[in-house]
Amino acid sequence: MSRRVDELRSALCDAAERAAEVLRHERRAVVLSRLVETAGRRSWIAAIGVALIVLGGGAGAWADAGGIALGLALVAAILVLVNEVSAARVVDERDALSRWDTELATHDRLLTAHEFLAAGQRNGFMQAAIDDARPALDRARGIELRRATSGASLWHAATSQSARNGLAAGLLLILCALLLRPYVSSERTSATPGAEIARVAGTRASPPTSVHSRDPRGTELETLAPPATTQPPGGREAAEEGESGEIPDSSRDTRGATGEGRSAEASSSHGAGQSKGVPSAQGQVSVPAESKKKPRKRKRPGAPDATPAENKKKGDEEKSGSTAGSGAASGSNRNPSTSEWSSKDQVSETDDDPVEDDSDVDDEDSESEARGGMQPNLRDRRPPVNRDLSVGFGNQSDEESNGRGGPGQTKKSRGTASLVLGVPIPDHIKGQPNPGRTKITQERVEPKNDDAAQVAASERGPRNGPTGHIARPHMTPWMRALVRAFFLSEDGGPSGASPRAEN
Amino acid sequence: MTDDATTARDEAARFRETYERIREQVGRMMVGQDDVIEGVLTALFAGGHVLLEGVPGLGKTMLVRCLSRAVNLQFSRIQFTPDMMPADVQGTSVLVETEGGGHKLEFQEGPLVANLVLADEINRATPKTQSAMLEAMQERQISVGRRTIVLDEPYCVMATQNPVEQEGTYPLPEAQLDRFLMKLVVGYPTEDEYHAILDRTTGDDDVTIDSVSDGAEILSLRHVVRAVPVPDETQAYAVRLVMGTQPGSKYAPALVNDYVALGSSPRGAQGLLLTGKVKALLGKRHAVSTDDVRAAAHAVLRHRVLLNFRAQSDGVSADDVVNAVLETVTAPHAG
Repeated sequence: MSRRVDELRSALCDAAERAAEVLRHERRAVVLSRLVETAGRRSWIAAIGVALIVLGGGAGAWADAGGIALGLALVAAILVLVNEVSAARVVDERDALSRWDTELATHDRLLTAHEFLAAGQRNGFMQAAIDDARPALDRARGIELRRATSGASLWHAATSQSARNGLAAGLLLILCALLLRPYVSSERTSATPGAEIARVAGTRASPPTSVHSRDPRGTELETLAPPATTQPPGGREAAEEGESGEIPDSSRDTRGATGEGRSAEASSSHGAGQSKGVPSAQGQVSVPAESKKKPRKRKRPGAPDATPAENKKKGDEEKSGSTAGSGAASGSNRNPSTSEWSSKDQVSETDDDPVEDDSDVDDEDSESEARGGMQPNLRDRRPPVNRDLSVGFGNQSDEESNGRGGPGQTKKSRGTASLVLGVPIPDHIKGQPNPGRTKITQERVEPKNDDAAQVAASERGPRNGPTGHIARPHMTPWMRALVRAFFLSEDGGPSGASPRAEN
Repeated sequence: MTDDATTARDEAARFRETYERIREQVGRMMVGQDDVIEGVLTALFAGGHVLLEGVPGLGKTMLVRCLSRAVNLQFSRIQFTPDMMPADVQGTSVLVETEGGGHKLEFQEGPLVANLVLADEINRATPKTQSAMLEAMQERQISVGRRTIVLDEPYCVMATQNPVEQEGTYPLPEAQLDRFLMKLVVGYPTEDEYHAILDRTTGDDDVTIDSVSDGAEILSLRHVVRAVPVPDETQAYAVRLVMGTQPGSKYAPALVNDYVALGSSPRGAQGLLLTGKVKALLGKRHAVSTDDVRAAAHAVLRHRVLLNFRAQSDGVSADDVVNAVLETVTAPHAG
């Protein structure tokens, strides 16, 4: 018996080993196909990265053949790693036997036998179930477990609709990036630091700009810039010089001469890194008069100062350099600069502050003040809602009610309080200016016994007095028969019968 | 092969033999409807109750009548109507005349006191009367006043109902639906079956059904069914299936989360395993497999899944939900 069981157990283990190999292969294929499908589906994300690399600053480092080869090698390494990891996974014996059951359509006979063999105590049905596994094992010995065609699944994963869509999107992105790359690179080449400085310097030198600045004493100063020309020859020259790597003198002068305050033009021409953190005194002057007149809406105590989106936008504005810069703007880019170049940008409607309706603002402010208890709101001066609870014809209002809720004294006196004794009931007495009050006098009296002679029940005798009217007098039978005979004779009935005879 | 195994094989063979005998007798009268007949017999051997649903005229009542004759059990039939009261099915005290001219109250048992009860058109009764059967179906006893009547085993209620959408019907309460082991849907016969039905029912030949079993044998075979072991794999699969019908569980597919208001109770898992045991014996196996549970899923779970309004508006049926669960849920070691 035990030998048969051992044989069966070893046969099951053998079958499980054989199935485990197949399962490892299938799982590896499944993992790879999932990887391929997911990669295909998400390839547009990778394509965005590639496009950014191609278009971005690292194009020179990554777009060459070495970078591409490195990327391909990385992908191959990931695939190999996944393959090895999935192959190294231990396959459970039950999984392997379940695979055999599926293959042979044995209705879990092998898996059941494996479980029942491990059971400590077996009843007849369990032993019979173990025996049922023998024919299935014999069949399993004779055949090889078929592997699922991994190529087909890989192909299926690679050609699935989502993978194809993702792949197409990714390829389009990369293609666009490659097509745009020459233009971007040429712009970038022309936008070398020296050339940029020269270009800015040339532009800067052109218009006569009245720049407001504030000296340390607080007085407004007006600085006149060189006269404006649309395309100053000096600017082009400066640009050419900038391309050659030299910084023009005008630019140097501007940097050095303006010093700490640094004119708005200078701060706007340079990047955010330079203009940040050095707030220009102009900014304090350039606050529009309207904004002083009409204070901004007061922020709520718990509200944050600015949303992240607003901060981001603000930061973008600062970095753009097209406006007066962060140092000059101080919350608003409406800088009344006389520079044609800068004022064009600054006066345009790029200010993100929404145009506020004055009436709305006033209304809200007054409401907020009223809420704070500083001053009552005019709206609250309306009489309160009438809560007259009277029920009557036409719901006539209580004349004596003061309109501040609830019925008047007359109505109040009709309530439950009037039914309870001893409760002072306020009442309204006509002719008096105020409601009167009923006075209730309470007197404390000790209870006293009432002295009376006791009468014993046995001493009560029969009634002696007249009994009063008796409705039905006592009649003897012959008298009753006589009356009956009389009325019967009156009705025409037989009258011959003597009353006595009837009785 | 040990003696225990031999005994188990003999018991299983006896079960199959009895099953086939009863099946043959019922098949004399019934044409087609193999799944329904198998379901009814499965419920009888598993110790459960059956709900047969179908339009009138498909032989639901006749099937139960034939079965009662074949197994020679005490049979009673209740035709449910909207004005029926609980006392009409459970029994009540009636005034009877004694020998000396006096009167006394005597309890008269209702039609629920039998072995095989045919509750015909159960959804025509009001919920109050329908609920009067709850105790009989679950605890196998009836409480009327201070009297408790223990029902004899085997006890099986086979109820028929018209589709709930028909007029003049009251949908069965969930508590009572849950007490039915299976809900079998009786469909229209095929063209060939129509010919066979007409030949049998419109001719001069009388079909007789012999009693081939009795209550004692049915009871002993119920013990055989209960002795069939259930592997862990199969039990886990049954539990997963039941949990798969419950919205919000980790095995529930999207269809269940969208369309199911109430999933199956643990009685559903019990029903899956009991039905699976019968199917395993009929399949000449001595342990329940996941395929047995899978085969029983529709009949056992379809009436335990309560659909929401969205499912009704989208035309999603309980069978669709069970199909989705079967497609999604797998056994622990199946691939």
